[in-house]
Amino acid sequence: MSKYTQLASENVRELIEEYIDEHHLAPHAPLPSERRLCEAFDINRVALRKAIAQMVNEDRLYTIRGKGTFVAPAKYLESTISCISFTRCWGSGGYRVRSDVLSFDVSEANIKISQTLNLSLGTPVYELRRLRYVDETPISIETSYLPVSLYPDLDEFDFSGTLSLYGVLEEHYGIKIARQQQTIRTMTLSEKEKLMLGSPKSDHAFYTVALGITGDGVCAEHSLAISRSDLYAITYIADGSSGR
Amino acid sequence: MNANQPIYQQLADLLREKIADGEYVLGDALPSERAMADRYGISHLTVRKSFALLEEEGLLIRIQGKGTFVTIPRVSMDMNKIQGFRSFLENKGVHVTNEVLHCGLRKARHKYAKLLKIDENDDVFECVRLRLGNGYPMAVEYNAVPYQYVRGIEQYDFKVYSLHDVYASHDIQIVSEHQMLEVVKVTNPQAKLLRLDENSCVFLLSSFSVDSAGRVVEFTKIYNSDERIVFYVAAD
Repeated sequence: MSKYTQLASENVRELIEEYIDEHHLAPHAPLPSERRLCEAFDINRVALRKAIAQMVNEDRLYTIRGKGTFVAPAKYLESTISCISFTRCWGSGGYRVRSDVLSFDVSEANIKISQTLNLSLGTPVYELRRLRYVDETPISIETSYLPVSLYPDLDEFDFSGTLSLYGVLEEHYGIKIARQQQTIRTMTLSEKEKLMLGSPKSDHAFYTVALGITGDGVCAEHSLAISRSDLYAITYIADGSSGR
Repeated sequence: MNANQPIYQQLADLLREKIADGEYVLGDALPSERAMADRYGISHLTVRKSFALLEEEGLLIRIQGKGTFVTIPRVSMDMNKIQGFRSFLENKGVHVTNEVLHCGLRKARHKYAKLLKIDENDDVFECVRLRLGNGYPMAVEYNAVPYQYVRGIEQYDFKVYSLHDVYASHDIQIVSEHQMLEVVKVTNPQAKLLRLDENSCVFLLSSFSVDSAGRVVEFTKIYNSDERIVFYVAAD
């Protein structure tokens, strides 16, 4: 591969992005035809198509067969800084959030969960599975594990709708999650998961494993979340003082 | 290396060093336990113990009947830390090399005027690199830096130097990094460079670096092979 091709698709992409900005194309606005863009940029169709394919792959544009290419809406941004609870974080960002409870059971902690939560094998834990919506779009499937001993009768709460789990832990049990550690991986969605998440075009998703810790170092909540990558991005600001 | 340490740890240190120095690279087979034991005059059980330790660290993989090979651990990139790609990997004992795919000056034009908060006619230094860990492609990185902050940057060889080296010599102190992490499908040329199939999945990390004077001194986007990298973040 020549060094020239390294930047060729970047350059065409830059022209398209500039066109979108300068013509104030809003999300869902159509791009002009390939022919017109090729003329405007003075490039060939192969180069244009390559750049468009890349921008579609990166969720900047989307295409509808027979209709053309459109500007994709910006992704929902989850800011992980000082924003621990899904409900609080997204709610404060001006997005409407809610959940459906898929299941809420008590089970015995398996080795992975017991080790993560620092419990002995087989300790009773709540397993709460929720489908989370942002602006009425299903965005993630989240499974939370919580030690029963910390939260007696937690299963009497109904977490469908807008009730925040972290809010309940704090207000009813006096347990405040002070710190959350997340490991972020990628995964491929199963057919069932795709269906639950509203059939996104991409099979790829974020897989986030989180552990909520109190100020005293108690492992108070552990969750596994599968989140749509086409609609969602994670933002984080690192500053010089927070290096850990 | 410490002579008072148990032998298996001394051997593990030695092998770690050889991997970090690039003497053994990804996919290389190590000498057999027997050959290693003969070379250093130690028991093969001691060799086995060192191999096991390095296997646990993710630097080696043992394949039944085939031998012991150099591999790369899954590296966890800590989003809380302002740290270059190289130091993350080197802390894990991974030997980092760079292939510079493009380096040069250009006008900011619309794109970088907006991203770097400079004038459209200002010069921008652009750099595209393939980052390899133990010889294996880990990431394709695009950097853009306003030239006015780092005059002379074009003299550096980014096969060897890092942007952080340039900042240090220009008294630029990065105080914050504003990052956005996405999961996207990879297209050529990035797919080919990362030895991935087109449309397979990668992390795309975009970030702005701000210095102590409040200037945006860098815009970076990195396509990270998701086979080798996970991200870690701790939020208060």
